[in-house]
Amino acid sequence: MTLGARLTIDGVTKRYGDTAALDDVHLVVEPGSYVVILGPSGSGKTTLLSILGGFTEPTEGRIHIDDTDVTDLPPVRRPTTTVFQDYALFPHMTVGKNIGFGLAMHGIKGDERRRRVETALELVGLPGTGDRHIASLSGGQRQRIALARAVVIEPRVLLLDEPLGALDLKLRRQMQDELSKIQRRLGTTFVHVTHDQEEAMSLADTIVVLRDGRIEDHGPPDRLYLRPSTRFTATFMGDSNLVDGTARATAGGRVEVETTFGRFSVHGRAIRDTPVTVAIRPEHLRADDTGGFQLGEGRVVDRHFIGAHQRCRVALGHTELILNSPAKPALAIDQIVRISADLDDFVLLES
Amino acid sequence: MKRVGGVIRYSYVVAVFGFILLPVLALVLFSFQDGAVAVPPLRGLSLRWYEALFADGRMMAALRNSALVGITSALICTMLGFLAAYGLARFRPKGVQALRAFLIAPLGVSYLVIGLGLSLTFSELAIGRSLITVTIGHVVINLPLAFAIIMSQMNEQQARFEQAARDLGAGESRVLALVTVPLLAPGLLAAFLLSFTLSWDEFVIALLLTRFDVTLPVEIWSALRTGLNPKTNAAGTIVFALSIGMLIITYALIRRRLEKQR
Repeated sequence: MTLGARLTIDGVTKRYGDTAALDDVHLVVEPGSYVVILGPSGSGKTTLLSILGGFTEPTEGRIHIDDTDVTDLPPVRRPTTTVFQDYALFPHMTVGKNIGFGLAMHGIKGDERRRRVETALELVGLPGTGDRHIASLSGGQRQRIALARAVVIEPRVLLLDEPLGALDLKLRRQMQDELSKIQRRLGTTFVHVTHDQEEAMSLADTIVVLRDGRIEDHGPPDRLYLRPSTRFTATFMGDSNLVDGTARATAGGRVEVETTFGRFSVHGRAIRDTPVTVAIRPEHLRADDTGGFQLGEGRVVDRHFIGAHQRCRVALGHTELILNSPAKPALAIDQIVRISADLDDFVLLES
Repeated sequence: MKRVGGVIRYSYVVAVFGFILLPVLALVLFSFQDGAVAVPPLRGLSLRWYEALFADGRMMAALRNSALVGITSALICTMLGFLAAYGLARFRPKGVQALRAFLIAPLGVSYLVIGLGLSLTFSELAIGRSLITVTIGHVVINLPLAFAIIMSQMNEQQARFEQAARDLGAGESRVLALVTVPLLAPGLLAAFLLSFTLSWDEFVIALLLTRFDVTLPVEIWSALRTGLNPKTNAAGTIVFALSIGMLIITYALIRRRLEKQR
């Protein structure tokens, strides 16, 4: 059992010419936690991972692992290993040689090495495959071997660069479960980069949302999903209906907002008489009047049956809202429905 | 009409291959001539000229010299070609494209020009002509090819394998020995074999840069000056057989490599 290390990213900036791939990133990753860095392509997430691994030098800022400043250390001298996006398994070596490579480099020989290779193979659910060739493995098996190769040398921090990106959806969901099981068993600090928000939510203790080289928001998945702090987070992590309005009164941590659906009071802070946005998740809207707040009557414009629910676009006056309601009762296009919701589910964002 | 077209097509193919292969076939066939003249008619088959060749001290010395020059120059070409390709691919110095073109440029210069240039340079530097100078000459002509072959095998994925090895704790020398070279092995071998083959039957530079110790093509050439003789045919057949053998091995290696990548 290796104990994960604390990872401290202190003011890291990476510039390529005039453009900043990362701009003053500060983050503390708690020992043994599973952190997912989530962002669209070009947000700088891969650059950040590459800096943590020691493959890219930051223009400014320091990286600490526990109390050691590793900013100027090459990859070989850092207590980190990386699971690469394309796995980078050595094609001229067997599975066992691949996994044993790091151990051999650290001077672990003979029986001890064989034993640890086999333990790593068991950990990823592929016992007894040490003699197989890399070319004979499926994509999912390669992914597991890449993981085994990286964890077998017991890094303090494991870096995963879109590790599930090359797998099909079903395999990806399955590997997600295994990744989090393995992480809990090892206790290693995991830093995982992805653009898949569903993957991020199912794996992370903490999600860090990166946008244009800056940290947009970070926190536990449910907080980020249910109470996003920015417009970007609200729309990047799943869908949100964004309703524009004006703050009319503020008192006791609540704001009275005036919108096209009327006046209501939500949690949050705002300056009086300034424009604000209210984010409402599609699944928080109800196609009946059982909610605490009535938005009004609307007409169903579009309906798709998804399985677990039906996804509708509903027109209320000049506004269209996306609504996910239970599969029954089925709604029909052009049907007139009452829309309601609970005010506690509304999230106030700055405009 | 159709049949006439077919006949013309086949005759053309037969003529082309005949033109290319007949001289070689004649050379090989008359090396087995049971008689003193290397021209038709064929009087019968015998290995006496091979026997005479193997008993000929000068020819045997030339054969050894050729092997020595071939192996040494091919080793140097492969090593220099690898270093140049590795440096350009991994460290990307300024002007990579120009450096690459510059390294490959000698391919377009005739052997005569290169041989004369080297010959003048060596005499200017008061370096006597020997097996060493011809080895240098063969490195000069074969390095561009060795470099081009190895460079073509360098790619981004390989760089990532090296990165992974470093990440797992390998120092630079172990990255080279355990990852870079094994992954490049087919390319390195192809470069070596091709360099050897080209050195093995190279004549112009060998003639200009050798003096007392000569390589096989030069020895055959001097034997020819005293007249045609089935023994020179036998020597030529040996040169030819080794070249063809090398080419077949090189081809098979490259094919296997390509099939593996698929």
